[in-house]
Amino acid sequence: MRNMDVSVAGIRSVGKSPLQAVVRLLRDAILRGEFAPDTKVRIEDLRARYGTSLGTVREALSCLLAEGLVVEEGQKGFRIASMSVADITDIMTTRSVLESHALTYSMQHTSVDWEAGVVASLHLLNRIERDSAAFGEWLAANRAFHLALCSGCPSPRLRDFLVSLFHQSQRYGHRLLSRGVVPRHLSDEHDQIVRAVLAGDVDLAVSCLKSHIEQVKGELVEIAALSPTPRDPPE
Amino acid sequence: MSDSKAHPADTETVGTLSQTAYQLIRRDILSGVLEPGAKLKIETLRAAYQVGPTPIREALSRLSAEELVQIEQQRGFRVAPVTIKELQDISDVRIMLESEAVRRSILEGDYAWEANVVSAFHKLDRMEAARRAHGAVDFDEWEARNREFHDALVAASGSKWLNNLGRQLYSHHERYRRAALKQEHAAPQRDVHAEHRALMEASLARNVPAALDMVRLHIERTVEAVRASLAAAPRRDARQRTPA
Repeated sequence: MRNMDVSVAGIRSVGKSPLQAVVRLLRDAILRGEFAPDTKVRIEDLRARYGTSLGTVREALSCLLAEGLVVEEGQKGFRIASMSVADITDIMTTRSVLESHALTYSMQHTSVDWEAGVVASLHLLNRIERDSAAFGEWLAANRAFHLALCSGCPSPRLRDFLVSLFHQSQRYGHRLLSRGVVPRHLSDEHDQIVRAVLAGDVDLAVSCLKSHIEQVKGELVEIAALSPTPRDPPE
Repeated sequence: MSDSKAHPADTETVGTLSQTAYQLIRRDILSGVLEPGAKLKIETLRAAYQVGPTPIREALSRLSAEELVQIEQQRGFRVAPVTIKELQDISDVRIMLESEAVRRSILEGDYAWEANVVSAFHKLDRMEAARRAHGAVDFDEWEARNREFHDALVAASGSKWLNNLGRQLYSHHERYRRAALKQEHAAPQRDVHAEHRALMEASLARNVPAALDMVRLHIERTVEAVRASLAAAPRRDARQRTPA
């Protein structure tokens, strides 16, 4: 479905290259928490893991540098970006600003196609939430729902930024799963947003969206506060 | 691109070769030394920046993730073109981010924030006096002062993400600001300095609506100036694509 086809932040221009494939795999691994925050990236391990060249791995890391998922370390290395309470608070607050703007724009320029996309993505999300235990699948559907709400706003930059912020918050979402925390039942909040959207009530829809993001922020902050940031063992 | 205009890596630059290549190529794209649409050949860049092919490729990958470079079939690279559509997009999103950051700074900023805004404006003011006296301005210096002023305004927003995304768009705007500035000098009906003054005064007076009106007006007027500049030179874009 259209809204599930989420474009990758920042690399619209890359095309279907080996580089794009490695960027995608590596990003997903970071979002799933396979590499702990602040740990040094072992480039040779990644080369073996993805069966590609050292050059391609370094280029992929350079792309992820621009997305803020890795940071530069020392002379030639990379480190997985940190996670912290301050960081997730900022990420969710910024998401709230950007998503509110995009939803307002979408509702002011509403179309049947846009509404249909919102309704369809909500339906899919609710089905998955009820029937599926796969948290990864739920996260993807949740992201698709939020992007559908924003998709009436035709700005490629805004969309890139939203996807980037989503990736950032997804790292914390995966941590909920790894701690065995079952995600709170969110479908009521999602339903409320969509009811306000279909009623054409911009103020209500935006205020529902904001309070929803605020709720989720509280949960993600909690998980971030619980998790001490692991450091590299001494080498 | 022209080899004589590209700057070789400064031996005193701290950081890795990739970082250096990234910073230099980015600077030259934003300033227009590497022209919009120009093909970026690894060999040519190696010679121009005096670094190896690996740092160049890494720098170009990072710039592609920033939308300043496009990757083509067969892994060729090209400077992203400038278009009115993209200018409008950058401007719209910048207005949104900067409005929110200015609003929060006005609500949260302390006296130190005020002092930094005043200080950054003073430097702009001095440049404006010099421009009036000599009839010209060093664009690079003006650009640096302008950036400092806008950074100072949003410094108290409390959001690293909001400010970083805003700063990225501010940078990408530079390619368009250069065109706008030429137009303003040719037909100076716009007083950018008065806009900055109004923005500073509204912010210090903690007048959120007036400050946000000014943020919007300030950015929209640049869009108008670039439109006028492109309309005045319709073939400029085509000429820029010709390899130098």
